[in-house]
Amino acid sequence: MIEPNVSFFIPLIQSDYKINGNHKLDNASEENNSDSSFLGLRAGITFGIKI
Amino acid sequence: MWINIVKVLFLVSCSLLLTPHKAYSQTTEVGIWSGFGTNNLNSLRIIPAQTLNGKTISKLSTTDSYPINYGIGIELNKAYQVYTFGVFFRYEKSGTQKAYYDLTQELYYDQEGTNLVFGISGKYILWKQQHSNLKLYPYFSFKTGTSFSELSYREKQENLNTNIVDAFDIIPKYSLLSLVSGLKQIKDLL
Repeated sequence: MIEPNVSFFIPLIQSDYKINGNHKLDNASEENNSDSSFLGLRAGITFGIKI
Repeated sequence: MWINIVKVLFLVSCSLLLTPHKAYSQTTEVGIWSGFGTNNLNSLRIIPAQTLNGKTISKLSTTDSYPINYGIGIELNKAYQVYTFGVFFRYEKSGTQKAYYDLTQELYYDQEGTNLVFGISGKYILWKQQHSNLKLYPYFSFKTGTSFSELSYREKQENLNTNIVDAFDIIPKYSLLSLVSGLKQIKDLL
């Protein structure tokens, strides 16, 4: 099984960011909204077997 | 709402994987995937944040890096001739480890990111529409899942790994929708 493939993807929902330690985010909700418009592109190939 | 939709799709996929389907010949496929792509970790760099010392990390440029990562993954599909249903897992690693310099803070930042993506997929293969003896047949696929990401920053006084003054991670999570097209060998299903 050989499958070359191309995909487009978008994030549907993005949760609030968490940041570790004592750091904090400013205006996190505002930035989250702007990030949700991301459109990604991915290309790859799958090698497989049937079982 | 989307979480519930994902749960329903997952249960439907699992039931299709586990239930024998007598109308078509069927098989189970296990595959290893590898590929390259863009990532939305690039956009996370514009998040203003404050360090332990109260310094505000300015909006770092999004143009001085390559928003490309590479990934590996595994897939498990139940195939019914022209349809397949399955689950997938991917590990993606940013290939854009690079230093950023903030002139106002006189600090450098290194960033690198990882994604763990879990999801389900359905596939429709344009097999019966073909009349030639093709080795590869086109297919269209729908995938949905959730990505758990981690974006690590290292703050440095100089652009050297030995001068790290602080480090922190930003951890986002998002659900994704993906449309896929590709080519598939069909001989295993005949």
